[in-house]
Amino acid sequence: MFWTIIIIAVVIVFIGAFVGIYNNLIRKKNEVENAWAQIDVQLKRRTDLIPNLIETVKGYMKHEKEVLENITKARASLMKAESVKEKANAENMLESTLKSLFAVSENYPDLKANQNFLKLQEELTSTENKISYARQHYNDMVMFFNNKIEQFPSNMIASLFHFKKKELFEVEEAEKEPVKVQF
Amino acid sequence: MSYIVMVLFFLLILGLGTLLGFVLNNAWAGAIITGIISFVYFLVITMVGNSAMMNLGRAKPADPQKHQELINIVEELSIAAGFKKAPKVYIIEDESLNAFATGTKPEKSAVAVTSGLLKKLNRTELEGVLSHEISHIKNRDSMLMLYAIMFSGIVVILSRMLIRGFIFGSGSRDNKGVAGVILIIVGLVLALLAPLFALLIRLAVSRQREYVADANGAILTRYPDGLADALEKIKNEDHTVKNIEPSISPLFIENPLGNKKQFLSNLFSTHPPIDERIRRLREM
Repeated sequence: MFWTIIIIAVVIVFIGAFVGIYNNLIRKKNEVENAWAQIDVQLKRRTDLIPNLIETVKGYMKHEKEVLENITKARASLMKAESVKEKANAENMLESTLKSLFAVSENYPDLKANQNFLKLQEELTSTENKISYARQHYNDMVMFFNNKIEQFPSNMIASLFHFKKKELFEVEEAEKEPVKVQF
Repeated sequence: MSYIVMVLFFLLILGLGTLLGFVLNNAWAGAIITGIISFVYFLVITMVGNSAMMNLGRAKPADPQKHQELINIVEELSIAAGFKKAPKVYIIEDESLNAFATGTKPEKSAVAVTSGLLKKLNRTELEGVLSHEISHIKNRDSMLMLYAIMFSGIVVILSRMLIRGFIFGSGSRDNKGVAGVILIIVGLVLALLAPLFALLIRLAVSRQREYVADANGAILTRYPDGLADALEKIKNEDHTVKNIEPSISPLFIENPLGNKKQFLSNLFSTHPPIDERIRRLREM
């Protein structure tokens, strides 16, 4: 009698732990997916803002054709990108082309005085921040999820149900290097 | 932790209500009536607490055109914090430098900054201040403070009624004997101490949590110097916000009532010393 109760208690504890760990894994996985969706929303918002920007800037920047073309190209490749890695690369490219546009815009005082341009600049800066914060949040969530998959005892349940590690949204190596200034 | 404090608070109110009922010859009625009133009050606060707080702080909704940058910063940081919806943004028309946040949960929250703060701080510093406020919402400090402030009012009213009840109470004391007398003395002491107890809860809530919110804010922006620079400016400029309700002062990033140099104000101050906060941020 005594041992039956002990065995039943142990079984109940095990089932409880199993359910708890499994649900926690699912919750973490959903958080990762939600964080990824948030990055997507912000990337989409930026691709939507760019035609406006180019329309506004075109009239002022007659001599910067190349810069504008690069932005259009980067935008197109971002729209085509599917996987985390492709998106990360395209997003880095777009970010640096936009930076060079805002850098050359310093040479056009008329453009700097344009209310519409200033508004777009604030919107794009903010969207840029939102993308990097969304990326930061996504990477945090991926880390928590991947830790759970590797740590004992949740790793046993993770492999039983084929949970796979998620990819980090990483910044390209080139971007981490210090910027070379040429005179 | 937040929830334990809230339960304690509720028990205090229920205890006071029961005692009031006891004095007026019906302890059960006292308990039930205060229980029902607190519950209804709780629901009302949960629904309209944010706008009540914003009214008490003289804050008006921000204009999406005029305050585009501020609204953008709040949206950016709530993405960093993983909120589903950004808090509403309010402006307090005041030349001083200050800010506060309120809300029971991230989806139902609001932040307010003074127009002086908008004028004097740059974008990075504003991000610092708002990361602190967003952290308060995320850590549920804002929820706890909202209920603590609103329910402190009830505690004060109840203990005043109780003291009045003892003085003018119906003459039922004669037939209760020694036990009754002791109970009444204990009750009287409790009634006198209750408002003080409510105040202490409010303090315990706010001081340590300011440091935590500073640290969590730095985790969001990954740039503690932004908030440190902002606090530096807030310290050196005027941060006394005019015409606000004093009871909401613990919500603000720095005491909006001004720092009076008194022994009591130090003991009961709702905010940790700003120099210490700056020092800890600089060391991160």
